[in-house]
Amino acid sequence: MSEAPEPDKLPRAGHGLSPDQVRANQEQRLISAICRVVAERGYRGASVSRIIGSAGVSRSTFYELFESRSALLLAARARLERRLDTAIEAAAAAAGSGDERLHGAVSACLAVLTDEPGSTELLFGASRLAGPEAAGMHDEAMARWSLQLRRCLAGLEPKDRAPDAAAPGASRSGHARGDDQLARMALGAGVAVVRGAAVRGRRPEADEVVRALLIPVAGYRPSTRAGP
Amino acid sequence: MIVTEETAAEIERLTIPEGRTGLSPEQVRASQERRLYLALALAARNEGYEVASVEKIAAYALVSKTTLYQLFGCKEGVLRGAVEEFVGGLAPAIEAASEEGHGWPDRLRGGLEAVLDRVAAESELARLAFVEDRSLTGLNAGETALEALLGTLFDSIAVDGGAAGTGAGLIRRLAIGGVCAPIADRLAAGRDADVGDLLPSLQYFVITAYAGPDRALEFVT
Repeated sequence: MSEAPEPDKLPRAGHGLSPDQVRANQEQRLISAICRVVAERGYRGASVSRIIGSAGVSRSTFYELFESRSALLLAARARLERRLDTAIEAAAAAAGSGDERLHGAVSACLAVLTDEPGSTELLFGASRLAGPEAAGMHDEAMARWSLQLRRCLAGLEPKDRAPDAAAPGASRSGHARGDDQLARMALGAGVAVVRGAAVRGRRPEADEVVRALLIPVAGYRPSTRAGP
Repeated sequence: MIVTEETAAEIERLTIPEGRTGLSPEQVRASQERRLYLALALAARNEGYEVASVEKIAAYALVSKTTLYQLFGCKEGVLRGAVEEFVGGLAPAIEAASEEGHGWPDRLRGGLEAVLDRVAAESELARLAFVEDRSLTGLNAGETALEALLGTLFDSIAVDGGAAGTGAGLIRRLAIGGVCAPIADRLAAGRDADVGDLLPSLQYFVITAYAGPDRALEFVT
Protein backbone atom coordinates (compact mmCIF):
# COMPACT_ATOMS: atom_id res chain seq x y z
CA MET A 1 0.00 0.00 0.00
CA SER A 2 1.22 3.50 -0.72
CA GLU A 3 1.36 6.24 1.83
CA ALA A 4 -0.89 8.73 0.06
CA PRO A 5 -0.54 12.33 1.24
CA GLU A 6 -3.34 13.68 3.37
CA PRO A 7 -6.00 15.05 1.00
CA ASP A 8 -6.75 18.10 3.16
CA LYS A 9 -3.35 19.65 2.66
CA LEU A 10 -3.65 23.43 2.48
CA PRO A 11 -2.54 25.42 -0.56
CA ARG A 12 0.73 27.28 -0.05
CA ALA A 13 -0.88 30.73 0.03
CA GLY A 14 -4.19 32.52 -0.19
CA HIS A 15 -6.14 30.10 1.96
CA GLY A 16 -7.33 32.85 4.29
CA LEU A 17 -6.95 30.73 7.42
CA SER A 18 -5.66 31.98 10.75
CA PRO A 19 -2.40 30.56 12.20
CA ASP A 20 -4.51 28.59 14.70
CA GLN A 21 -6.55 27.04 11.91
CA VAL A 22 -3.42 26.16 9.97
CA ARG A 23 -1.94 24.59 13.06
CA ALA A 24 -5.11 22.56 13.71
CA ASN A 25 -5.07 21.38 10.10
CA GLN A 26 -1.43 20.31 10.35
CA GLU A 27 -2.06 18.48 13.64
CA GLN A 28 -4.98 16.60 12.18
CA ARG A 29 -2.98 15.65 9.09
CA LEU A 30 -0.17 14.33 11.27
CA ILE A 31 -2.63 12.37 13.40
CA SER A 32 -4.21 10.83 10.33
CA ALA A 33 -0.76 10.15 8.90
CA ILE A 34 0.54 8.27 11.95
CA CYS A 35 -2.59 6.10 11.89
CA ARG A 36 -2.05 5.23 8.23
CA VAL A 37 1.70 4.65 8.50
CA VAL A 38 1.43 2.54 11.66
CA ALA A 39 -1.22 0.39 9.97
CA GLU A 40 1.03 -0.11 6.96
CA ARG A 41 4.40 -0.55 8.63
CA GLY A 42 3.80 -1.10 12.32
CA TYR A 43 4.93 1.33 14.99
CA ARG A 44 8.53 0.28 14.57
CA GLY A 45 8.44 1.10 10.89
CA ALA A 46 6.60 4.38 11.36
CA SER A 47 9.52 6.78 11.25
CA VAL A 48 9.08 10.53 11.54
CA SER A 49 10.24 10.79 7.91
CA ARG A 50 7.46 8.51 6.73
CA ILE A 51 4.85 10.24 8.87
CA ILE A 52 5.70 13.75 7.68
CA GLY A 53 5.91 12.48 4.10
CA SER A 54 2.44 11.04 4.38
CA ALA A 55 1.08 14.15 6.13
CA GLY A 56 2.74 16.60 3.74
CA VAL A 57 4.30 18.72 6.49
CA SER A 58 7.93 19.66 7.00
CA ARG A 59 10.15 18.14 9.66
CA SER A 60 10.45 21.52 11.38
CA THR A 61 6.66 21.87 11.50
CA PHE A 62 6.41 18.39 12.98
CA TYR A 63 8.79 19.28 15.81
CA GLU A 64 7.09 22.61 16.40
CA LEU A 65 3.84 20.74 17.00
CA PHE A 66 5.07 17.54 18.68
CA GLU A 67 8.11 16.81 20.75
CA SER A 68 8.51 13.33 19.28
CA ARG A 69 6.82 10.51 17.40
CA SER A 70 5.66 9.14 20.73
CA ALA A 71 4.04 12.48 21.61
CA LEU A 72 2.17 12.41 18.30
CA LEU A 73 0.95 8.89 19.02
CA LEU A 74 -0.30 10.01 22.44
CA ALA A 75 -2.18 12.91 20.86
CA ALA A 76 -3.68 10.65 18.21
CA ARG A 77 -4.66 8.10 20.81
CA ALA A 78 -6.25 10.74 23.06
CA ARG A 79 -8.28 12.14 20.18
CA LEU A 80 -9.49 8.71 19.09
CA GLU A 81 -10.34 7.70 22.65
CA ARG A 82 -12.44 10.84 23.10
CA ARG A 83 -14.37 10.08 19.92
CA LEU A 84 -14.96 6.47 20.95
CA ASP A 85 -15.97 7.45 24.49
CA THR A 86 -18.45 9.97 23.10
CA ALA A 87 -19.88 7.38 20.70
CA ILE A 88 -20.24 4.78 23.45
CA GLU A 89 -21.83 7.21 25.90
CA ALA A 90 -24.32 8.41 23.30
CA ALA A 91 -25.28 4.83 22.43
CA ALA A 92 -25.61 3.90 26.10
CA ALA A 93 -27.95 6.84 26.71
CA ALA A 94 -30.12 6.11 23.67
CA ALA A 95 -33.60 4.67 23.89
CA GLY A 96 -34.21 1.03 23.03
CA SER A 97 -33.44 -2.42 24.33
CA GLY A 98 -30.07 -3.45 25.74
CA ASP A 99 -29.40 -5.35 22.55
CA GLU A 100 -30.14 -2.30 20.43
CA ARG A 101 -27.88 -0.13 22.59
CA LEU A 102 -25.04 -2.64 22.25
CA HIS A 103 -25.48 -2.74 18.47
CA GLY A 104 -25.61 1.06 18.44
CA ALA A 105 -22.41 1.40 20.42
CA VAL A 106 -20.55 -1.10 18.24
CA SER A 107 -21.76 0.52 15.03
CA ALA A 108 -20.76 3.97 16.28
CA CYS A 109 -17.30 2.75 17.30
CA LEU A 110 -16.77 1.04 13.95
CA ALA A 111 -17.77 4.27 12.23
CA VAL A 112 -15.07 6.16 14.17
CA LEU A 113 -12.45 3.53 13.30
CA THR A 114 -13.46 3.59 9.64
CA ASP A 115 -13.43 7.38 9.53
CA GLU A 116 -9.76 7.38 10.59
CA PRO A 117 -8.05 4.69 8.48
CA GLY A 118 -5.37 2.82 10.38
CA SER A 119 -6.72 3.83 13.78
CA THR A 120 -7.47 0.20 14.76
CA GLU A 121 -3.79 -0.73 14.70
CA LEU A 122 -2.75 2.44 16.49
CA LEU A 123 -5.30 1.94 19.26
CA PHE A 124 -5.03 -1.79 19.78
CA GLY A 125 -1.64 -2.78 18.38
CA ALA A 126 0.92 -0.02 18.54
CA SER A 127 0.23 1.74 21.80
CA ARG A 128 1.72 -0.84 24.10
CA LEU A 129 4.96 -0.49 22.12
CA ALA A 130 5.22 3.27 22.31
CA GLY A 131 6.52 3.64 25.83
CA PRO A 132 5.03 3.50 29.32
CA GLU A 133 2.68 6.48 28.89
CA ALA A 134 1.04 5.13 25.75
CA ALA A 135 0.87 1.65 27.25
CA GLY A 136 -0.80 3.13 30.33
CA MET A 137 -3.35 4.94 28.18
CA HIS A 138 -4.07 1.71 26.32
CA ASP A 139 -4.57 -0.28 29.50
CA GLU A 140 -6.75 2.41 31.11
CA ALA A 141 -8.93 2.62 28.02
CA MET A 142 -9.35 -1.15 27.85
CA ALA A 143 -10.31 -1.21 31.54
CA ARG A 144 -12.80 1.62 30.98
CA TRP A 145 -14.38 -0.01 27.95
CA SER A 146 -14.50 -3.39 29.72
CA LEU A 147 -16.43 -1.76 32.55
CA GLN A 148 -18.87 -0.22 30.09
CA LEU A 149 -19.28 -3.56 28.35
CA ARG A 150 -19.84 -5.33 31.67
CA ARG A 151 -22.60 -2.84 32.53
CA CYS A 152 -24.09 -3.29 29.11
CA LEU A 153 -24.04 -7.10 29.31
CA ALA A 154 -25.51 -7.03 32.79
CA GLY A 155 -28.36 -4.87 31.49
CA LEU A 156 -29.37 -7.15 28.64
CA GLU A 157 -32.87 -8.47 28.82
CA PRO A 158 -33.46 -12.24 28.78
CA LYS A 159 -34.92 -11.98 25.29
CA ASP A 160 -31.51 -10.83 24.03
CA ARG A 161 -29.96 -14.09 25.09
CA ALA A 162 -29.86 -17.30 23.14
CA PRO A 163 -32.74 -19.67 23.95
CA ASP A 164 -30.37 -22.10 25.64
CA ALA A 165 -28.43 -19.50 27.58
CA ALA A 166 -27.80 -19.75 31.28
CA ALA A 167 -30.12 -18.27 33.84
CA PRO A 168 -29.94 -14.50 33.96
CA GLY A 169 -27.57 -12.74 36.24
CA ALA A 170 -25.46 -15.47 37.69
CA SER A 171 -24.56 -19.10 37.36
CA ARG A 172 -23.73 -22.14 39.43
CA SER A 173 -20.03 -21.64 38.80
CA GLY A 174 -20.13 -18.04 39.86
CA HIS A 175 -19.73 -16.69 36.35
CA ALA A 176 -22.17 -13.85 36.08
CA ARG A 177 -23.12 -11.90 33.04
CA GLY A 178 -21.57 -8.89 34.73
CA ASP A 179 -18.28 -10.62 35.51
CA ASP A 180 -15.31 -8.24 35.06
CA GLN A 181 -12.95 -10.88 33.72
CA LEU A 182 -15.46 -12.20 31.21
CA ALA A 183 -16.22 -8.70 30.01
CA ARG A 184 -12.50 -8.12 29.48
CA MET A 185 -12.24 -11.36 27.52
CA ALA A 186 -15.27 -10.44 25.45
CA LEU A 187 -13.69 -7.09 24.67
CA GLY A 188 -10.49 -8.93 23.69
CA ALA A 189 -12.54 -11.14 21.40
CA GLY A 190 -14.23 -8.12 19.84
CA VAL A 191 -10.89 -6.40 19.30
CA ALA A 192 -9.50 -9.59 17.71
CA VAL A 193 -12.37 -9.58 15.22
CA VAL A 194 -11.91 -5.87 14.45
CA ARG A 195 -8.14 -6.22 14.03
CA GLY A 196 -8.50 -9.37 11.97
CA ALA A 197 -10.77 -7.50 9.56
CA ALA A 198 -8.51 -4.44 9.53
CA VAL A 199 -5.41 -6.39 8.48
CA ARG A 200 -7.44 -7.90 5.64
CA GLY A 201 -8.38 -4.40 4.54
CA ARG A 202 -12.08 -4.70 5.18
CA ARG A 203 -14.49 -3.04 7.56
CA PRO A 204 -15.81 -5.52 10.13
CA GLU A 205 -19.53 -6.03 10.29
CA ALA A 206 -21.21 -4.77 13.46
CA ASP A 207 -23.01 -8.11 13.80
CA GLU A 208 -19.83 -10.17 14.01
CA VAL A 209 -18.34 -7.84 16.62
CA VAL A 210 -21.56 -7.94 18.64
CA ARG A 211 -21.51 -11.73 18.55
CA ALA A 212 -17.96 -11.69 19.94
CA LEU A 213 -18.99 -9.32 22.72
CA LEU A 214 -22.01 -11.43 23.61
CA ILE A 215 -20.07 -14.62 24.26
CA PRO A 216 -20.22 -14.43 28.07
CA VAL A 217 -23.95 -13.88 27.89
CA ALA A 218 -25.28 -16.09 25.19
CA GLY A 219 -22.58 -17.99 23.43
CA TYR A 220 -22.75 -18.28 19.71
CA ARG A 221 -23.59 -21.24 17.52
CA PRO A 222 -22.73 -20.77 13.88
CA SER A 223 -25.34 -23.21 12.61
CA THR A 224 -28.25 -22.01 14.68
CA ARG A 225 -27.76 -18.25 14.78
CA ALA A 226 -26.92 -15.88 11.97
CA GLY A 227 -23.33 -16.81 11.13
CA PRO A 228 -20.55 -15.19 9.13
CA MET B 1 9.71 -2.63 41.01
CA ILE B 2 9.97 -6.13 42.42
CA VAL B 3 9.75 -7.82 39.04
CA THR B 4 12.67 -5.91 37.58
CA GLU B 5 14.76 -6.48 40.69
CA GLU B 6 14.10 -10.21 40.44
CA THR B 7 15.03 -10.19 36.78
CA ALA B 8 18.24 -8.29 37.44
CA ALA B 9 19.10 -10.76 40.20
CA GLU B 10 18.42 -13.67 37.85
CA ILE B 11 20.76 -12.18 35.25
CA GLU B 12 23.46 -11.78 37.87
CA ARG B 13 22.98 -15.36 39.02
CA LEU B 14 23.39 -16.61 35.46
CA THR B 15 26.54 -14.60 34.87
CA ILE B 16 29.65 -16.67 34.38
CA PRO B 17 32.64 -15.59 36.46
CA GLU B 18 35.77 -14.50 34.64
CA GLY B 19 38.61 -16.94 34.19
CA ARG B 20 38.60 -20.70 33.77
CA THR B 21 35.06 -21.91 34.34
CA GLY B 22 35.21 -25.37 32.83
CA LEU B 23 32.05 -24.61 30.85
CA SER B 24 31.71 -25.60 27.22
CA PRO B 25 31.24 -22.90 24.56
CA GLU B 26 27.61 -24.08 24.23
CA GLN B 27 27.00 -23.56 27.93
CA VAL B 28 28.54 -20.10 27.79
CA ARG B 29 26.45 -19.24 24.78
CA ALA B 30 23.26 -20.51 26.46
CA SER B 31 23.99 -18.35 29.48
CA GLN B 32 24.59 -15.28 27.33
CA GLU B 33 21.44 -15.85 25.29
CA ARG B 34 19.31 -16.31 28.38
CA ARG B 35 20.74 -13.18 29.97
CA LEU B 36 20.06 -11.19 26.82
CA TYR B 37 16.42 -12.34 26.75
CA LEU B 38 15.94 -11.28 30.35
CA ALA B 39 17.86 -8.04 29.75
CA LEU B 40 15.60 -7.16 26.82
CA ALA B 41 12.55 -7.76 28.99
CA LEU B 42 14.10 -5.62 31.72
CA ALA B 43 14.93 -2.81 29.30
CA ALA B 44 11.44 -2.98 27.79
CA ARG B 45 9.93 -2.61 31.24
CA ASN B 46 12.24 0.17 32.36
CA GLU B 47 12.71 2.22 29.22
CA GLY B 48 10.20 0.81 26.74
CA TYR B 49 11.21 -1.51 23.91
CA GLU B 50 11.50 1.25 21.33
CA VAL B 51 13.80 3.39 23.43
CA ALA B 52 15.92 0.54 24.81
CA SER B 53 19.30 0.71 23.07
CA VAL B 54 21.58 -2.19 22.24
CA GLU B 55 24.10 -0.66 24.65
CA LYS B 56 21.57 -0.70 27.47
CA ILE B 57 20.43 -4.25 26.78
CA ALA B 58 24.00 -5.52 26.63
CA ALA B 59 24.79 -3.68 29.87
CA TYR B 60 21.76 -5.21 31.63
CA ALA B 61 22.80 -8.65 30.32
CA LEU B 62 26.36 -8.16 31.52
CA VAL B 63 27.67 -8.99 28.06
CA SER B 64 29.46 -6.87 25.49
CA LYS B 65 27.69 -5.24 22.56
CA THR B 66 29.84 -7.40 20.32
CA THR B 67 28.43 -10.54 21.94
CA LEU B 68 24.87 -9.32 21.36
CA TYR B 69 25.59 -8.66 17.69
CA GLN B 70 27.36 -12.02 17.28
CA LEU B 71 24.49 -13.96 18.81
CA PHE B 72 21.46 -12.08 17.45
CA GLY B 73 22.52 -9.44 14.94
CA CYS B 74 20.28 -6.72 16.38
CA LYS B 75 17.73 -5.90 19.09
CA GLU B 76 14.91 -7.37 17.01
CA GLY B 77 16.91 -10.60 16.80
CA VAL B 78 16.99 -10.81 20.59
CA LEU B 79 13.22 -10.36 20.67
CA ARG B 80 12.73 -13.11 18.06
CA GLY B 81 15.02 -15.43 20.02
CA ALA B 82 13.20 -14.77 23.29
CA VAL B 83 9.81 -15.37 21.68
CA GLU B 84 11.02 -18.62 20.09
CA GLU B 85 12.35 -19.74 23.45
CA PHE B 86 8.99 -19.09 25.08
CA VAL B 87 6.94 -20.71 22.34
CA GLY B 88 9.38 -23.63 22.07
CA GLY B 89 8.62 -24.56 25.66
CA LEU B 90 4.92 -24.04 25.23
CA ALA B 91 4.31 -26.60 22.49
CA PRO B 92 5.41 -29.77 24.35
CA ALA B 93 3.70 -28.59 27.54
CA ILE B 94 0.37 -28.16 25.75
CA GLU B 95 0.74 -31.44 23.86
CA ALA B 96 1.54 -33.37 27.02
CA ALA B 97 -1.33 -31.83 28.94
CA SER B 98 -3.73 -32.38 26.07
CA GLU B 99 -2.77 -36.01 25.65
CA GLU B 100 -3.24 -36.77 29.33
CA GLY B 101 -6.84 -35.59 29.34
CA HIS B 102 -9.84 -37.87 28.90
CA GLY B 103 -12.32 -36.15 26.62
CA TRP B 104 -12.34 -32.59 25.42
CA PRO B 105 -13.13 -30.90 28.76
CA ASP B 106 -10.02 -32.42 30.33
CA ARG B 107 -7.91 -31.70 27.30
CA LEU B 108 -9.07 -28.10 27.20
CA ARG B 109 -8.39 -27.61 30.88
CA GLY B 110 -4.97 -29.24 30.52
CA GLY B 111 -4.07 -27.12 27.50
CA LEU B 112 -5.09 -23.84 29.14
CA GLU B 113 -3.40 -24.82 32.39
CA ALA B 114 -0.19 -25.55 30.48
CA VAL B 115 -0.32 -22.08 28.92
CA LEU B 116 -0.84 -20.38 32.26
CA ASP B 117 1.91 -22.46 33.91
CA ARG B 118 4.33 -21.55 31.16
CA VAL B 119 3.38 -17.87 31.39
CA ALA B 120 3.90 -17.89 35.16
CA ALA B 121 7.21 -19.76 34.93
CA GLU B 122 8.59 -17.61 32.12
CA SER B 123 6.76 -14.36 32.71
CA GLU B 124 9.46 -12.12 31.28
CA LEU B 125 9.66 -14.07 28.03
CA ALA B 126 5.87 -14.32 27.97
CA ARG B 127 5.65 -10.57 28.31
CA LEU B 128 7.86 -10.16 25.27
CA ALA B 129 5.65 -12.59 23.31
CA PHE B 130 2.24 -11.24 24.38
CA VAL B 131 2.93 -7.56 24.93
CA GLU B 132 6.09 -6.32 23.22
CA ASP B 133 5.93 -8.33 20.02
CA ARG B 134 3.67 -6.89 17.38
CA SER B 135 3.40 -7.92 13.78
CA LEU B 136 1.28 -6.59 10.97
CA THR B 137 -0.79 -9.75 10.83
CA GLY B 138 -2.99 -8.46 13.62
CA LEU B 139 -1.62 -11.07 16.01
CA ASN B 140 1.46 -10.95 18.18
CA ALA B 141 3.75 -13.92 18.68
CA GLY B 142 1.90 -15.12 21.76
CA GLU B 143 -1.47 -14.99 20.03
CA THR B 144 -0.06 -16.68 16.93
CA ALA B 145 1.42 -19.47 19.02
CA LEU B 146 -1.78 -20.03 20.97
CA GLU B 147 -3.84 -20.06 17.80
CA ALA B 148 -1.55 -22.71 16.32
CA LEU B 149 -1.28 -24.79 19.49
CA LEU B 150 -4.78 -24.48 20.91
CA GLY B 151 -6.86 -23.97 17.78
CA THR B 152 -7.43 -27.65 17.07
CA LEU B 153 -8.14 -28.30 20.73
CA PHE B 154 -10.68 -25.47 20.72
CA ASP B 155 -12.33 -26.75 17.57
CA SER B 156 -12.72 -30.19 19.15
CA ILE B 157 -15.21 -28.61 21.55
CA ALA B 158 -17.53 -27.99 18.64
CA VAL B 159 -16.95 -31.45 17.17
CA ASP B 160 -16.96 -33.54 20.35
CA GLY B 161 -18.77 -31.26 22.74
CA GLY B 162 -22.20 -31.64 21.25
CA ALA B 163 -22.40 -28.13 19.87
CA ALA B 164 -24.25 -27.72 16.62
CA GLY B 165 -21.92 -26.90 13.77
CA THR B 166 -18.18 -26.72 13.84
CA GLY B 167 -15.83 -23.99 14.91
CA ALA B 168 -15.57 -21.43 12.18
CA GLY B 169 -12.40 -19.38 11.76
CA LEU B 170 -14.15 -16.45 13.36
CA ILE B 171 -14.95 -18.38 16.53
CA ARG B 172 -11.40 -19.59 16.83
CA ARG B 173 -10.09 -16.09 16.29
CA LEU B 174 -12.30 -14.47 18.87
CA ALA B 175 -11.70 -17.28 21.37
CA ILE B 176 -7.95 -16.74 21.04
CA GLY B 177 -8.45 -12.99 21.34
CA GLY B 178 -10.49 -13.45 24.49
CA VAL B 179 -7.98 -15.82 26.07
CA CYS B 180 -4.98 -13.63 25.29
CA ALA B 181 -6.48 -10.33 26.47
CA PRO B 182 -6.39 -10.93 30.25
CA ILE B 183 -3.04 -12.74 30.00
CA ALA B 184 -1.49 -9.74 28.25
CA ASP B 185 -3.13 -7.37 30.76
CA ARG B 186 -1.63 -9.18 33.73
CA LEU B 187 1.80 -9.42 32.12
CA ALA B 188 1.75 -5.74 31.22
CA ALA B 189 0.75 -4.83 34.76
CA GLY B 190 3.40 -7.09 36.33
CA ARG B 191 0.67 -9.29 37.84
CA ASP B 192 2.05 -12.51 36.41
CA ALA B 193 2.15 -14.29 39.78
CA ASP B 194 -1.64 -14.64 39.86
CA VAL B 195 -2.11 -15.50 36.20
CA GLY B 196 -3.17 -19.03 37.22
CA ASP B 197 -6.37 -17.54 38.69
CA LEU B 198 -7.59 -17.00 35.15
CA LEU B 199 -8.13 -20.70 34.44
CA PRO B 200 -11.87 -21.02 35.27
CA SER B 201 -12.75 -17.85 33.40
CA LEU B 202 -10.74 -18.94 30.35
CA GLN B 203 -12.39 -22.37 30.33
CA TYR B 204 -15.84 -20.87 30.70
CA PHE B 205 -15.18 -18.31 27.99
CA VAL B 206 -13.86 -20.78 25.41
CA ILE B 207 -16.55 -23.40 25.97
CA THR B 208 -19.23 -20.72 25.87
CA ALA B 209 -17.83 -19.36 22.61
CA TYR B 210 -18.12 -22.77 20.94
CA ALA B 211 -20.91 -24.55 22.72
CA GLY B 212 -22.89 -22.05 24.75
CA PRO B 213 -23.00 -21.26 28.47
CA ASP B 214 -24.98 -24.33 29.50
CA ARG B 215 -22.19 -26.60 28.35
CA ALA B 216 -19.64 -24.29 29.97
CA LEU B 217 -21.43 -24.53 33.31
CA GLU B 218 -21.30 -28.30 33.17
CA PHE B 219 -17.53 -28.36 33.17
CA VAL B 220 -16.28 -25.23 34.91
CA THR B 221 -16.28 -25.05 38.65
